[in-house]
Amino acid sequence: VRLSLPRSLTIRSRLLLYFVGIVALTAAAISSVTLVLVSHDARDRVVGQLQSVATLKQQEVDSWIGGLGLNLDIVLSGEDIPADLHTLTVAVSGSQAYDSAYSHALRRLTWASERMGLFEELFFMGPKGGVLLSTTRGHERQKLGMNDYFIQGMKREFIQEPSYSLSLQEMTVVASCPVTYRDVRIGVLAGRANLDSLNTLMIGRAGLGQTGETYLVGSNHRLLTALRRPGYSVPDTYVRTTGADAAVDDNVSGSATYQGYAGDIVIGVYRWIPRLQVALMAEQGAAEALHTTRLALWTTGGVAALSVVLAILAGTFLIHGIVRPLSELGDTAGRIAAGELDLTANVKREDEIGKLAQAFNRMTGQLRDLVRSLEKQTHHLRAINEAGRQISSILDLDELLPYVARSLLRTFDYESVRILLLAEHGSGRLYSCGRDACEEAAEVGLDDLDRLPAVASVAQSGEPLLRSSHAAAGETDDGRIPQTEVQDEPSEIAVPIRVGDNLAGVLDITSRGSHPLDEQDLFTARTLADQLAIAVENARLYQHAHELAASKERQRLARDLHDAVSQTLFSVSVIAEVLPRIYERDHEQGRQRLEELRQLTRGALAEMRTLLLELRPAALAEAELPDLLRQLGEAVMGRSLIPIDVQVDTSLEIPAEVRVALYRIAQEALNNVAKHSGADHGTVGLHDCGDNRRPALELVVEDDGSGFDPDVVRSGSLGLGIMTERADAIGARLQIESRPEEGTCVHVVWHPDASFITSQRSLPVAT
Amino acid sequence: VRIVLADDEQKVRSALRLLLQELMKDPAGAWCEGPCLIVDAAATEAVVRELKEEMVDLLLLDWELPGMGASELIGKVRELSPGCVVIAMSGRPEAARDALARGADAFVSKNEPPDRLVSTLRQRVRV
Repeated sequence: VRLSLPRSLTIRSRLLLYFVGIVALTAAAISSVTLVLVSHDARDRVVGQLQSVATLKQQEVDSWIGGLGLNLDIVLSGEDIPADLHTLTVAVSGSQAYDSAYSHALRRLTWASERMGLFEELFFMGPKGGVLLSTTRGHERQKLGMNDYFIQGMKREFIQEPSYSLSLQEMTVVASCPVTYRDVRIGVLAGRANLDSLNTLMIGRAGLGQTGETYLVGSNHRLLTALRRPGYSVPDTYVRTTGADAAVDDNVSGSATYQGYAGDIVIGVYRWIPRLQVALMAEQGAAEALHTTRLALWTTGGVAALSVVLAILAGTFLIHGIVRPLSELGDTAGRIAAGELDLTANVKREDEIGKLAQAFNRMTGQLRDLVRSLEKQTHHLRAINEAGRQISSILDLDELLPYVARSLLRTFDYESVRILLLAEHGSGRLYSCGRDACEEAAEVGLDDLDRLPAVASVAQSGEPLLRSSHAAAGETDDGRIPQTEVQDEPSEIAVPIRVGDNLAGVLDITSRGSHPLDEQDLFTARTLADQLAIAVENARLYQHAHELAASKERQRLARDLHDAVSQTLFSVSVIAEVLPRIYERDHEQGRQRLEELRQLTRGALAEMRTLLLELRPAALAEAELPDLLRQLGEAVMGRSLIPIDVQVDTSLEIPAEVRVALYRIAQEALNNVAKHSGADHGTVGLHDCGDNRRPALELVVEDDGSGFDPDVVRSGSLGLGIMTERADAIGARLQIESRPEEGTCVHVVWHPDASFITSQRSLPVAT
Repeated sequence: VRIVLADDEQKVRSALRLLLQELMKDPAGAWCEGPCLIVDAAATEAVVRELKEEMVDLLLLDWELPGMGASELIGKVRELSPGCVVIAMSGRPEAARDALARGADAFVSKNEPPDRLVSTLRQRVRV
């Protein structure tokens, strides 16, 4: 059987359980062995004592019985008694001889009875059992020939077992013996003795304590002698106990523990006395007999229990002494795990637990150092990350570099942070921040850096430098950062900012007092320097991209100018060149050409205005849509010589983004008319449509040109994609109808409510 | 005599046609002798079509004409009409160097007054 304790049990409970278990088991074993040994021994002792008493009493009883026979012998030994008794058997009653013998014998018996005090009555029975003489007068003439004491008494000395005499109203014993006269049995002399003397004998104390007693029980279980306990009278009590039964029924002697006549447990010794046909009982109450033993056992048990309790207390104390520091250590560990790293286990002991606590404290110390180091590293990394975020979001170095410097100062409590940005030709731009404020960025010559020797050195060599105020001097192994020790001066780090192989600048950090700079700061500075290099490169690229974009925008404007205005003006100037001669020759034709010139210049003017709108997109959002559409029409007309009819009829209030979108759609559609349609005529219409409940605005751009097959033309070409996007952005519905040689119609319907919803998600006034 | 006006802008072609017609009528200098045919071309394909149809004597070519590249077009001109005079025109004066390098006989900027075109035509071409 494997004894296993629940896993959840604490060490304290386990130890206590084991300890108490062992102590209790030991105590129980000792107690039970003691109990068995002592109680067995005690019983033997009591039985031995009872045996002694029983033997003593038996001897007394035997001597009493012997006394009965002896007394009869003594009566008979008197002179002439057998002769007198013989006379009584042979002489005639009333004769002188008879009377003389009778009175003589009576005197003799009465005397014997009174003197000996043993017999109540002495009487003589003739050869036929008739009572011839008795000390009790009324008993004479009785015929007792049938009694055992006569029949047996004729043969030898006989003692009849005790019996209750109705006539005497008491327990009596009859002893008898034959009377012989001249070798002839002439009768039986019998003595009736009461049991008072036997009673006294049995009651007599024999050192059996309060409950010990001896008594006699007759063969019919009748109690023969008085008991010490009241309520049990002779001859009305019958004793039926295990001991009495064994002696009376089986005629054996022995000892046993059994229920006494009164019902309590007794230790008894019983003897069968065959001569008297009685049982001698010697008993003592078990409670009393074993009282001392019990007391001893109780004392032993009490001592055992006490020792168990003491052992538990001692064990508890001992276990407490072991477990308490352990559980305190556990609590401390738990709190440290929860973040209270400054805790130490407070165990002032030199033993194993003390050593454990010391080891624990050392471990916590290591952990604390580790965490602090990690925290510092995290701090640094966070600062680097923050700077990196700024570096990627701020493109202006004049804004970024002071920001990074301030951020470093604030985060690490440095004394000062300087960033030198190298420009060409031995000059540079210095951003300098101290604890209190940042200076304006200043242009410096590299030769003027005398007051910043570290910066100058790094700008010269391109190698990082750590000047630590507490670093050991002279530790400049190969490949390591040169360190010089300077007392009472701030520690300083200067690292190069490199873009590729080129030195772009220097990052310089100083710290004073309680924050000497270390390798961690150097790491931070180098990482930041790398990020700053990216920022410098970014700024340069951004500048470049900016210039490129501006250049591209200028080129686009130039191209638009060329496409739209230059061509028209060229045509105008060519026509104007020859117009005077034409007019001279043919007035009518001259007027036609003049009209042509007018249209062309109006168109050029409209184109110019359109281009100016492109230059100032805000103006587009401010302008009214009908004006814009008319301007578009004129511009296209001037450019393509296709007459464009613009019809505007609307009273709706049109939001800016819708105006811009519709303008762009019309512009794109008219571009197509001018460039691709080859039309003779085009129209632009802007009308209210719908009804009062649901007003709508309709833009139609239509031409009678070559048209196209919508199934063939890709949706992205001819600006169709742009038109669709613009319409979608304001929630308008765009429809383009066209067939080859049947012209094109661009049709846009916009509902004010729809535009309101969709404009919320469109970009602010896209132009 | 065949003259091709190659420009994608109809108004430019129209103006140039007017100018050429006036030049022809100029009694001071007989610029064009004999019957003179002026043809329009809005794209390079149209120019090639005219070249293939008949010899061309003068090509006024917009340097930004949509279609094939300018040097390829000049190659075709040299191949199909060896005697053709090519005058390149552009609104971008910087195109002059490119045009002359690629084989144009002369370059006229559209941003200059028409006198320049007229003098070039008179100088370079005697059809």
